[in-house]
Amino acid sequence: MKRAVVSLAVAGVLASACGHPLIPAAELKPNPVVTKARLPLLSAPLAKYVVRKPVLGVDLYSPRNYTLAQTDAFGTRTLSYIKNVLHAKAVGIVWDYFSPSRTTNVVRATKQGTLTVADVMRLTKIAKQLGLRVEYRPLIFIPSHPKNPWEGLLNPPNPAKFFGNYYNVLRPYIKAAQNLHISEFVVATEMHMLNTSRLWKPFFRKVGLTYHGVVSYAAFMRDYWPPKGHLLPVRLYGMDMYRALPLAANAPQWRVTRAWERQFATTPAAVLMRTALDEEAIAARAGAYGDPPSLGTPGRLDQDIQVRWFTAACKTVVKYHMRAVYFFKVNLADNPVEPSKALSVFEGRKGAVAISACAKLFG
Amino acid sequence: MSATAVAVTDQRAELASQGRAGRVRPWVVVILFALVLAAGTALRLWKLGTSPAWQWDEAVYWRVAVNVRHGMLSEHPLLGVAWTPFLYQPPFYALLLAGWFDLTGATIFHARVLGVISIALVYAAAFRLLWKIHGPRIALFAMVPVIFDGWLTYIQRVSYIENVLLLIVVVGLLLYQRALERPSWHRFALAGAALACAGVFKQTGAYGIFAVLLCWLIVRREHKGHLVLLGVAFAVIVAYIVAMHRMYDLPGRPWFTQQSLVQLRRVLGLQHSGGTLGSPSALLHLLAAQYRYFVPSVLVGLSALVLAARRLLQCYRARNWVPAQPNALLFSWMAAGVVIFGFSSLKFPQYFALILIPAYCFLWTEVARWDCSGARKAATAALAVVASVGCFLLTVPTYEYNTLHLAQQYAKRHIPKDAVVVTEQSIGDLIGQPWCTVQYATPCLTTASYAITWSTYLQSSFTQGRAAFHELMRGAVKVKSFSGPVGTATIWKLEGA
Repeated sequence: MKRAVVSLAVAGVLASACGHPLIPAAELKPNPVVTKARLPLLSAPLAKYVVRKPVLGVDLYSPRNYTLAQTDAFGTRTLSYIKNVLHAKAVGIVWDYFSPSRTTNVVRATKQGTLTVADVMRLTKIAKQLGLRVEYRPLIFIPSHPKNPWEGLLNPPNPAKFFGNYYNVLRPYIKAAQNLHISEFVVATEMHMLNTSRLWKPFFRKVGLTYHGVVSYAAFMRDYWPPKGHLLPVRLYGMDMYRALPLAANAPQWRVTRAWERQFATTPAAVLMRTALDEEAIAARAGAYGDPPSLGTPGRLDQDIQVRWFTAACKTVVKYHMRAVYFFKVNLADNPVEPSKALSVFEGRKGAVAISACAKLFG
Repeated sequence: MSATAVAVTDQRAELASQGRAGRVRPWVVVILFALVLAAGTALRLWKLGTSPAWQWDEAVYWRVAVNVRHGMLSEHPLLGVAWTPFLYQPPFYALLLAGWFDLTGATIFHARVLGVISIALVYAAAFRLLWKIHGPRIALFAMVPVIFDGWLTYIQRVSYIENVLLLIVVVGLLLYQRALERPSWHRFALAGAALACAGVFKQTGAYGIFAVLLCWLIVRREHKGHLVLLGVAFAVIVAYIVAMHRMYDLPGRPWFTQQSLVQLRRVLGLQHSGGTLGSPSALLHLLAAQYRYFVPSVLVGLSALVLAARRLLQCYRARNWVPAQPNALLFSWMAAGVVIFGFSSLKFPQYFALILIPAYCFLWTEVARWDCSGARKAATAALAVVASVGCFLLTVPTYEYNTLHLAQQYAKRHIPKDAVVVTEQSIGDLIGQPWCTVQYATPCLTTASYAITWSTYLQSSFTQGRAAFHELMRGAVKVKSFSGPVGTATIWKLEGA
């Protein structure tokens, strides 16, 4: 028995062996202390801001141009739905510009694809009549890359020229925004390749000379989160949340909410309270938690995915006192009474109920 | 006299009568076995460098062992991800392989040679084990079809951890059988330490301890010895865990705990692992599609299963374990394998060796004890051997097309050294370029210029890949594809590259 005890003692001594064999010395250095308040790289000091109740918004998206009469009819129908069924307090009017390639300085409006300024103004007036706050948020598409026309990959060879061209196409809309006193103008979305450009500051300033409301920018999520995020020099921030979350399709609500909250847990409160979720969507598809940006991916209908995702978004906005959430999207030409069967659509589904429930959550 | 004593006495009487009746002397049996083993080993070494094609895990172990030689227990480091050691498996195989590479050379072929040597030792130990349980003639009779089994010959030509693991398991069981025959606490303690070493060498090796537990249930003797065995096994495993925790769980970076839990979650089915068999139908389909040459092995394996089930039924009818006692250890070893790997959510083809060796040993020792003429038994075994070897010989040219090697060579010759590649684990370990996995391609989103996808019957990069990978693959152009029986590797040039 003594021998057994000795054996065990030897095993214990071996077990207490020190050292870290086969680990490179550089990896043995202690991790830098991670605090919850690691700041993303700010381009400008934080401006003063008083926390207000979050705003529930829905994006009204027009992927093509319509006549003024059509815009009027469609806008009346969809904005009424946004106001009265989804109980949103704000609408984000979203339209498209186009660049011919990823490496071009050109950005332009097209007759078929870009909502005219008159249309945008008409929609703004209808929204205002319904008592909705209005924000404008133009997008840029690269149709020469039909599989991934994302503006985040736009990398103009002469950024100064690009910004000049972009300002020129935006100018009438900026004037309209000022004339109609909209609440916010999100001048660009997810320009990932240009995110560190120094030309943003003069660009925002130039927009601000005409439009005196809130000028902001919707950041690509990875350009937003610390420590690698880089926030552009605006007073109030925005970001698009499409982060894939490792959740089972049947994950309960608390788990989805917790996963959402964790995504923002390392962002400082001072940044979060100045942030709006400018674009947020998911398809009602089983397995969509793992790939939220792929709204068009076919699959099996699972309405609970949208319900839990949207509810988690709203709860996260409340928890971190964020400015707003805008759900993407109601298409301008949609008929909410007979919505499309596409999985990306929330109209006529439980997802719409979840969005309207956010109104109560926001108070 | 108890039922156990009766069975043991019967077994000893049988051995004695066998000794009296047998005209072959033990040293002749040893020489015959050595010849058979040499032939089996030669079969495993034949064309080892070219067939079968490199398997998924081989590339991973090769890379880890190569890195160990340079003082780093890790795979080919990933871009944009914090460095982590490779602790999904205990480090001992990587250490052994690194030492072997120092002696011979660092190639997958050399790793395979180590595997074949290990397997030769496994069969020598298994022969000794069967000799101890059933005597020399039955041991020789049983080992011949085991050594020449088609599936085992094929899978043991690949440098899997299981080749060395099996050696530790069989040595552990041999020590256990020795402790059963000449009971003393230190013999049981030694057996316990050896079996725990198997679990420490690779977590799945712990099934040897469960085999002993089942054997204890069947033989129902030497209770103190078994308790000592379990106690020592527990102590060794705890010592290993504590030591590994101290060495590889750094503050804020609990590598060992995290990676061990990942393995545990995979086994329990809480986390999916690519390349595993998800259902019996998948197994059948895989057999039909990829492993159709191994039908004789499947039939022999099924026969063993039927025989074991029959023995279990006899025990149930007798309301005791006496019918299983004459072959208790082999029955327990096989049953532990079937039950544990059957319930595990991890089902890799190489795991079947952990079940099939005890199953075949059980089957052929049972056949050897059948009450029929020796010629008929020998004919049965010879038929199995001929069918198995014949099928195996067919696999050698069939599995020669080395997809992973071709993909590696293509990357070496045609992809710039500093080009960022998005690919899967095994290919990432084979290539020299900086890389990201398809599961986490985000760090390479703006820098990747190539992707190498991998698809087999069981897995595909397109199902494993996450959002960032799919984003990268939009507009990707296929530049080369290598398709073999193991899988298809496709090289893509990414849009904007």
